[in-house]
Amino acid sequence: MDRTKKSELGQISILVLATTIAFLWATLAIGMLAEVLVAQQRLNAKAEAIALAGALEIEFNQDQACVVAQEFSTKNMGTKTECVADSTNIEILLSEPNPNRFLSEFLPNIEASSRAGIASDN
Amino acid sequence: MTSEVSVGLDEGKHLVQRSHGYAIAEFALAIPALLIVVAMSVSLVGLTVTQIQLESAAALGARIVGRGDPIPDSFRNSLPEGTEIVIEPDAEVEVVQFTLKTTKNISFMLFPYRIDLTASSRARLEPVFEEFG
Repeated sequence: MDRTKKSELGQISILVLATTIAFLWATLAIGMLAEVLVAQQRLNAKAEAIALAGALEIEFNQDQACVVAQEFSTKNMGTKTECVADSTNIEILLSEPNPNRFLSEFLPNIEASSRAGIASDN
Repeated sequence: MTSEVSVGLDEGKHLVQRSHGYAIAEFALAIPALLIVVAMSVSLVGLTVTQIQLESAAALGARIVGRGDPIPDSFRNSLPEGTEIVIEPDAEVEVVQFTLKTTKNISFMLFPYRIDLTASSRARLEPVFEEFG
């Protein structure tokens, strides 16, 4: 009888347990990242919509472009907006707190910017 | 390796307990658990991709409707199968709300599960000018 031979009992269980825990952590990380990615996508869409709303005023009411964009943002998106407008285009910068508590330690805010203007004739 | 004196029909013979082969048996038992976790991760990635796709499509849809254009077939075809489109224009505040709703089936082995995904976007209604001449 070979007494030096170790029992196989429990060896795979440890390996599988470690792998399962690793996969669960990976799933959790994917979930957190997904939450931030979706929030970023929403913010991009909001910035785009606000920029377009402001751009409608550029041609005939340039002074009010930012006011209209900010009003649209507050009423419909519930966010405050930074806005810069000139005679041809309007630029919007949005910032919101990171929705994920854990990732907000590393990335406190998510930001999106968008620019819209009058289409050229060319 | 352990041995002990057995009882019963083979009384007197040594009963031998072999421990090799346990690894394969354990592996066979543990594999389904591991596969469920992997399936969860893959499903989560799939859900995220669909949600981002819906968010992007909702923003585009709101823009199309805000411009006063009809929703083109190419837009409808690009959506995940069975997606419902809800358009709520609000002429008073000159805003249109465009919502997309879909159901995604995910299955963890033998347990099918349905998750409802919704994406919504708003756009300002653009003024429509009468064409001259």
